Amino acid sequence: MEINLSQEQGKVSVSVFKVKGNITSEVGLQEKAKEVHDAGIHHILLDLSEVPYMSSAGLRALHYIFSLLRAHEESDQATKAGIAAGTYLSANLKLYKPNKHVTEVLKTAGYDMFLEIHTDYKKAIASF
Amino acid sequence: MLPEIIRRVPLFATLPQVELDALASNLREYSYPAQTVLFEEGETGDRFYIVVEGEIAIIKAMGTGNKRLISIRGSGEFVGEMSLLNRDGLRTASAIVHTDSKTLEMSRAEFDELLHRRPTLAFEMLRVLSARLSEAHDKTIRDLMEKNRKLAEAYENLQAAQEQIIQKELMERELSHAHEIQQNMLPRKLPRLEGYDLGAVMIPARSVGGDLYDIIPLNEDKVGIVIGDVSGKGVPAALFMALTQSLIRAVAHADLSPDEVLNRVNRHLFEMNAGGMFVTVLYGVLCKKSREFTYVRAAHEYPLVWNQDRKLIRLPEDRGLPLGLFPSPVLQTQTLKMTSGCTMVLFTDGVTEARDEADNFFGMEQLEASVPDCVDNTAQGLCHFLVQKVTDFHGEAPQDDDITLVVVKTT
Repeated sequence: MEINLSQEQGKVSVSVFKVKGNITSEVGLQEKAKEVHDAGIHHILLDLSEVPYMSSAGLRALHYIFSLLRAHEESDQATKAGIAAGTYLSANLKLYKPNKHVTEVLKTAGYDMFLEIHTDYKKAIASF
Repeated sequence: MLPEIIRRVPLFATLPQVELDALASNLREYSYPAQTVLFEEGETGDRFYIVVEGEIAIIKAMGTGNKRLISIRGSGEFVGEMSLLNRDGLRTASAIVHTDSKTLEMSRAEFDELLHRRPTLAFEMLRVLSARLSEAHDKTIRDLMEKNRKLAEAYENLQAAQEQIIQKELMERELSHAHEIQQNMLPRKLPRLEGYDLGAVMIPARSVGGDLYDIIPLNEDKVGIVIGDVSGKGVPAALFMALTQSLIRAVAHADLSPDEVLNRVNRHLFEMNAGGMFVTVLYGVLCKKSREFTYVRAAHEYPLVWNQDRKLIRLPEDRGLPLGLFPSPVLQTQTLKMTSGCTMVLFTDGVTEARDEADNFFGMEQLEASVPDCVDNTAQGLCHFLVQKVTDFHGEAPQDDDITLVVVKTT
């Protein structure tokens, strides 16, 4: 797995993680997210367009990044209400273009319920 | 030339000219290339050597593991005198030519005659021998101190290694107890249900695992069936697994719907979950009379169901979040009619994500293709068959994740 980082400027600064290859380990993704987070960037777009396969380790990494960034959300109360209603979506971590298999994994694990999945790159950046 | 060389030898420095001339006419000069053995320790000595040019090494215990260099004698020094002075006449060390050398050699008889004529020579020799003795003594003490230091160091290393072994054994014993406790948390014997055949197996990847399964009799008509997988591995996952399994056992009740049970379990897990762990769970209630399996899927893999014609039934999509992450996760209830002759397989991702040596996954397709081959077997037989399939697949590659299967067959 290869991770390339780039920076985009929308309404906020967004760090784009372009992942290439199968995600079968949380190692790498978690460390990179922590580095970016510690550098003061709290919005990440995970570009999964070149990820053929994602295992449960990938789900663990997503959960780690989600939890790391969630601390910066404005209202935890609103988050809780949104989760209960099934309408909550993370404002800090979003996904871009997962393939059919990865989408299936995300849906089976319910991750698509709290992580937005985008197919248009510009719209994805603008959505933050 | 030879008298000049002899005069430069400190041992003969005090001899008069006439004696030096006598020595010059009697002593024989020899040349030796490096590595020549002049004499060996233990043999009888009949001469001693004065080094004219080059270097000669004096070695104790040559050819043994305790070989030790005593000193290197250079120009003007002498070697081999000890055997001429000792009563038994034996060499006390070996002498090897260190660099190409020239020596003058004096026989025992010549040496005795010279000492007899010039007893003062004995004092010169005594001075040299005394200095050599002192040097050898200091070297022995230095060697002993170095050996002692190495011994002390080796002893410390040995103690540290022993401590590590003790700690490792202790940890292995504790993990073995933990494994036993975890295995005892699983149902020892699956309940017998008329009209159904149940089977289950869990193979942890390490001593303790993060997978769980349970079959909980709720009343005469209903049985709760659980399978789950905690995120992560090792002891933290095992503790979270034990917590989840205990909570489900405590909360599960015939009057509570599966989503109510998992919501209650989730509330406890969420409150006690500072470490940010989560667990995927499938919990369902099997009703004997109605032959319905009502379940909720908290982000766990979908059940795989084959009808009596060995055809895989496509189940409706549903939504479900893992437990432990959110205060009130979305969970959707599904009901499945368990018709006669159907086979339901619940599994954890340790089955589908088992990897072979080339890093290929066992995968859902292979799991789905394997079951019809063995669908006539008992539920427990099918569990073992699938475990064998996965084990054969990963071969020499290590088992990455816990493998858990629960099979329900209707008769």
